[in-house]
Amino acid sequence: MSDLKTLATVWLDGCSGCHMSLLDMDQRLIELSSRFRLVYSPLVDRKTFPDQVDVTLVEGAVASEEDLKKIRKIREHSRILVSLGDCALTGNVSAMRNMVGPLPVLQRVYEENVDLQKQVPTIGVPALLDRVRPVHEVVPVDVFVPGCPPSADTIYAVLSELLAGHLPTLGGIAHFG
Amino acid sequence: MPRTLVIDPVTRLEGHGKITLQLDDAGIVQDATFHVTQLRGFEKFCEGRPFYEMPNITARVCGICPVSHLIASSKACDAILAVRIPPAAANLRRVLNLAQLIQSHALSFFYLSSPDLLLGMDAPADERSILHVAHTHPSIGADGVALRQFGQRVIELLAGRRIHPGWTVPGGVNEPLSLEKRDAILALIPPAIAAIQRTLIWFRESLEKFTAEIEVFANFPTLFMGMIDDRGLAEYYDGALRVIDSEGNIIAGELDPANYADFIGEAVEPFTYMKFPYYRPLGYPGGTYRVGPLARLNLAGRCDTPLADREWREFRAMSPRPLLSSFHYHYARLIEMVHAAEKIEVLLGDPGILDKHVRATASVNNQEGVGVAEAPRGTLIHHYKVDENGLIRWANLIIATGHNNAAMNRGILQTARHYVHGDNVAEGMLNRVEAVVRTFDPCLSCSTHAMGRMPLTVELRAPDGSLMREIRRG
Amino acid sequence: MDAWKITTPLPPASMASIRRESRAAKPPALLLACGNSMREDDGVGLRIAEAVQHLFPDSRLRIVAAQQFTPEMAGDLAATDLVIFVDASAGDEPGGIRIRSLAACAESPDSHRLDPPALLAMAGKLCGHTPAHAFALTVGAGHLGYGAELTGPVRQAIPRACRLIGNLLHAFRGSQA
Repeated sequence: MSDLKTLATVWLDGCSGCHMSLLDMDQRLIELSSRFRLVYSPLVDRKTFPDQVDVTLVEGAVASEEDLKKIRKIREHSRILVSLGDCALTGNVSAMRNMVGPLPVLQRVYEENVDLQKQVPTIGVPALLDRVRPVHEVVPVDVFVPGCPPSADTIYAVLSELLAGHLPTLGGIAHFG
Repeated sequence: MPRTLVIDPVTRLEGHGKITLQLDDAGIVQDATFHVTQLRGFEKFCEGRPFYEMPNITARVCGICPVSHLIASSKACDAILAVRIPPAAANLRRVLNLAQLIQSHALSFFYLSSPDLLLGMDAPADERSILHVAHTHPSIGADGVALRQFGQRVIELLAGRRIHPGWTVPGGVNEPLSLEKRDAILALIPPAIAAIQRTLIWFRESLEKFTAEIEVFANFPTLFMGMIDDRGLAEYYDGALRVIDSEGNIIAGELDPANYADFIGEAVEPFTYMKFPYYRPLGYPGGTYRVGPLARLNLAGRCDTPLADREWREFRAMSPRPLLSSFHYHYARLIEMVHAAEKIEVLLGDPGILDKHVRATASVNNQEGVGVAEAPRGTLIHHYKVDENGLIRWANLIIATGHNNAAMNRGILQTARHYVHGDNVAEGMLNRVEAVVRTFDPCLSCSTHAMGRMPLTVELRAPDGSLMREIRRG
Repeated sequence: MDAWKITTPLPPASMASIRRESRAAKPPALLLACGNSMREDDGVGLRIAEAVQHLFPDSRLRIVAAQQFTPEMAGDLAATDLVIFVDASAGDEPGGIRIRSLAACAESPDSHRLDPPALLAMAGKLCGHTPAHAFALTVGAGHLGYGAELTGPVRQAIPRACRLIGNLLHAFRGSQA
């Protein structure tokens, strides 16, 4: 049991493509799973982030108050934090709304040209941040894996290294886009 | 004592959602709300970009169904170019669309829901994952991985990569299909069909364990909407939209998807970023409808491929009328997977699929275009307006999952009322409340991209009320 | 988020969180409804107040209903930290419900025409306190002629309005107010 690293995966403001690329490891995911315990992830039913996780993969940019709270808690409770994919690294598509700001987006979506009950939702939903930000602007990041999404091969290489206890070198196996 | 129960996050779901249950003094669930807590803003920030960028930008609405967006977007662009794309291109897009259907349904069924279906809703929470299923039911786990892989491999062979591929373009596709790739795809089909059929066998047997869930998992009358071809059969790439009621009566037989705004309206509720489409003639919330696998199979006259048709008949034999329990989305997904695999085989069997003419070229000939297709989760609509240089002035997307929002909210309340009482908050009960949402297989990142509909007039007024400036957009 | 108090034995970490707040500390929330019950749909605010009274009879929600908002209500506002104004709205589609988050308006209110933002400003100016959370719930009116009955869509909105009021109370006050 103590040989098994604990792994967590999180998605913030993204499209889940990086998680799908993780699943694109196909059978390699099942093989790798004998070397880790997946302790927190959209794929498992744990609701609170554990106290101490060895490796956390973070997909998506920081776009709402909830993302901000989440990523700070995740950083505090993770030994290694990996920014996975271009949205986590640079903001990418999620950050395209920075060109107009959150207010025009909210107005367009919920006040203009809705047919019924125009209003900006306020109950039980987090406020949007003024600017969408990449993860490393908010918390320190240990490993950066670019790609939109990073390929399954890249993710496999990165995970294999991390599970063996090394920080991976990404030269040649990862690129943006 | 009255309490609030919060399920946060809803897990084994794509995107960000949480559920709030409100209990009264007697411990009865009074209300349940499904909060979608993410919003990105695609239509707003695409303004000013050249229309031909839209397929690749909107692919990033979703990492599970980028192909759906690529296809709907490309169709909208085709309309702006005013081209009819070559038949080989249309069929190649069809194959791509069907491959995505298979991988997305496999994800939903195996990776997200099989822990509940195989291990039971009350299984210990830390065992309810695909990784655990792969240990306890290795052959089923292997089938699940292999089926998702099959869909993704076909996409990769056709389009060059699995996620956010760039092959689908305005006017058609980028590259014709080679003989080698066609044969490679054909070879993958028989084992895939065998795996789906194996799954249907154990799944059907397991249904008797879920009679209680089937009763209360969003089991109520709604309309159903989906795309059909001219034979009234389910169609995924191009066709008219049909609406039926819960008795099976055709409410609207052949709606032109380009005029969607005439029959689909949208409401906002203050507790969720996802909006509530409704069928306009029946208002809100009376005009609640469902889309996706259950709707499509309820709508279909039959299936036009043999294995799927046999499965479909057995499915529909469960009731003389449309099936109303959302639990049956799971079953419908499996049947659609068979249908899609058989259909791919038929399409690739046509020698015309290898034709080299796969792209029509033109420039901006229309300043407006609508593209509609059936995504795994239901009807997807892209609508763009451009200026004479082809720059986006305005865009609107109506996403499959959004159509199901009202039904999902109602379904959560129905399930919660049945399973959650007073101090009995056994964890498996709360899992069931999540499980009803999983039947819809919602894609929440997709559904809260942003919406914008019609032209906007903004008045800038000075503090004294006088009009300073009027801005019109659209 | 505030610490959850779990009061029944539950498996840790995988359970939904049960939220219960201490009743002692908070002043009652306030529902301020206005309307004219002799002007058809204009009376919907009063009918909602009546319905809410039956649903939430607990003393931790104060309900005040009147024909219009008056300066005297500033005192009620200053004594609470959550207020929900309820009224009909002439501009919206009949039966359409909107909830808007309110801020006190900056300008001096015209005391002949008090609307919720002006009332909030008054509470701040005259009594030194404005509620931390203020919302306006409006129901679109269909008919505003002389008559004591509500039109169909507006009547049908009452239970939905009550549910949303319950949502607000739970979201901003924890357990039942």
